[in-house]
Amino acid sequence: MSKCIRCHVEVLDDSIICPLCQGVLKKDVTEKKIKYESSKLEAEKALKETEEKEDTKKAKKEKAKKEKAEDVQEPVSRSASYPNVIASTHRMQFVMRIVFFAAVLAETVCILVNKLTFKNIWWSAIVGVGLLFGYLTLYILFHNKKSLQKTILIEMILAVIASVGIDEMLGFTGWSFTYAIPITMISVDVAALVLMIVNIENWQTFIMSEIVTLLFSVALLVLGLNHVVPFGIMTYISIFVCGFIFLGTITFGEKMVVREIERRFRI
Amino acid sequence: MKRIDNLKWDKLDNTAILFPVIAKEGTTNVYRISVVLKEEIQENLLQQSLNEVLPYFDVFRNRMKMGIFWYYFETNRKKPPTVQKECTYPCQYINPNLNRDYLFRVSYFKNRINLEVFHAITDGAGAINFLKELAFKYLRLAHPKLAEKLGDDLDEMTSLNHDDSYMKNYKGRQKKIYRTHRAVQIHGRRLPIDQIGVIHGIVPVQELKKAAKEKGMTINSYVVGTFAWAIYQSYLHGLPSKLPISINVPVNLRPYFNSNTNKNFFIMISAVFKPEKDDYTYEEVLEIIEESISSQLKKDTMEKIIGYNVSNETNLILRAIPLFIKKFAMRYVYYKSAKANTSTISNVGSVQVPEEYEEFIDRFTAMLSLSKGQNVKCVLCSFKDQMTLSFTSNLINSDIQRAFFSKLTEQGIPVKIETNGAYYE
Repeated sequence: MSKCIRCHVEVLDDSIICPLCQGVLKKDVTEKKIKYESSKLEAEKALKETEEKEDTKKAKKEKAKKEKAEDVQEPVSRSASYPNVIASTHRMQFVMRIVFFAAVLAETVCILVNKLTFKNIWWSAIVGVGLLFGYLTLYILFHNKKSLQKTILIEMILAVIASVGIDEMLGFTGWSFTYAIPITMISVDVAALVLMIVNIENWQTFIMSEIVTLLFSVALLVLGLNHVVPFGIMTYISIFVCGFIFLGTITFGEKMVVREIERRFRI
Repeated sequence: MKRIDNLKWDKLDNTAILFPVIAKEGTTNVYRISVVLKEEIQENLLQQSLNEVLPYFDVFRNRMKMGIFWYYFETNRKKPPTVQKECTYPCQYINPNLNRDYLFRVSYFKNRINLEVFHAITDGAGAINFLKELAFKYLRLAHPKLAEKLGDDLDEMTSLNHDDSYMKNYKGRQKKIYRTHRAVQIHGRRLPIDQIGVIHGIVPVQELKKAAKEKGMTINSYVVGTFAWAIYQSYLHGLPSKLPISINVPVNLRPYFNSNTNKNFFIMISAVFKPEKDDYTYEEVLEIIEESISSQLKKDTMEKIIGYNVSNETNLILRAIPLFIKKFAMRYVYYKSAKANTSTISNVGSVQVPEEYEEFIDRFTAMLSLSKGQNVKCVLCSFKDQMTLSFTSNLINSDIQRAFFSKLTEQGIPVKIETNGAYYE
């Protein structure tokens, strides 16, 4: 056991310095002696082993390596009862930075090429939207680690925004509302249905995705009928698919669906 | 597969409501309670213990889900979380998506079993309850003679109650009886993100009791007073300050309201010391802190605090606000009120175990994660004749801890220090 003569405390860590004042600790004499003798024994043993190996080239290399390591070795202080945590390298953060840098670089090059060869369309903006969508998707999937349902719903909203943005950049012909958004709704709803089957123990969790897509589809139709946004056959198909999947869930889910909705909407 | 029509669910208690709103990587709201055994932990036995004990504890067998207006708990039907060998810093963020949706984790290192809990599910008393059963089960598996002697059931002192004791003891709306003023905040160069420095000070309970008695105080007030003194001396350098040192002291309400719930049931009181002149003596600081604490430790004051805290939850207009708006408001209030606190000292109390298990257990320890504006925190936990005072900090400098322990040794209390090695890096 070591003592700090400044802080007047005993230190249980395997350390040469006090964790409170960073001053050198006073080691117990017997402990010091044991440590000295064990290190002496270890050194002798190592020397003997090296001598035995000395003839071979490999041994010489090892010896040189060991000497080099000994040159830079620092005295180690560590906790005796906690793991030696190696600082997390945040590998994923680093990958995300590379992706971000590459995306910014690609977009800058696209803008330059687009400007130099401009022919009525700012296609670099579309590339920008695509890159942003890709980056956010990667971020949500690997960095933010949200639940599967949340990830799908966030992705859905991003896809809606991206498609409307691209449609707008191309002179707005309305395909984002007549095709892209309804297809996105149907895809998300079918994904929720598949997840319910795969994750049968917690299938009721995905009811919220069904409700959200159904509400989106209804809102799209209402806005379309009021001439706020364009609508087409896919808008009806979207309502039909989302509505029937939800109806099927209620029919076969019985009380579980009602209870899930009660819990989710409890004031 | 068996079809389940009725899944158990539960509301979050009054304190728990805040935690999921403010929890993130840096403010994890995760605390750790550990038991140090006198033998090395075997992973497979610990996993088996967890698998067998968890089904009894509804509070721990939950997952949190987000409703339109509130978060709520739902029974988690997934397998118990995997027990892991400790390999990170303590009190790291618990991401339910990476933890089979559970809001706690169990790890081990050498002789120590760690239970890390997201504060939304329970407080220290509830966690101790669970950890003790986990340790007892482990010991029965590791030493079959114990099971032969004691049987293989839960201990009769263990409570499985999960009442919402705030609601049970709510006696109507109350006005706010405390004011939130800005307080001294401890700043300094920080350890790298995610890193937490831990310093355990192990002291004999009898010596600490004797020193506290000499000053006419309880152990809790004595430790809080000494901590306030340490901040005053090492951070404010014994100089007057416009802002007070305000130390949060969580009070376990169970003994006051005859509750044995496993859910959160505590309130925060503030031990306040405002240095208005030069050179307060140690005794003066202790006296001010003692007065500040004892003035708030009255049952009617506690009832008023519960009344005020719960009243917001019962307000129908506030309840009908969608959760995403509530979250903004709650975060705003939390960040504003965080400026009113310097630090927190929590006393888990004296952990009692049946005497058959005593010979296998060395000690219990506890530690808190850090929160907005509070870069140093402390937890007291005692077992048999020794108390462990565990400081957690995200600051490189440990001057406050040094001043604190030096003061204790100066008072004749021997202190043994153990750290997690963060201060050597």
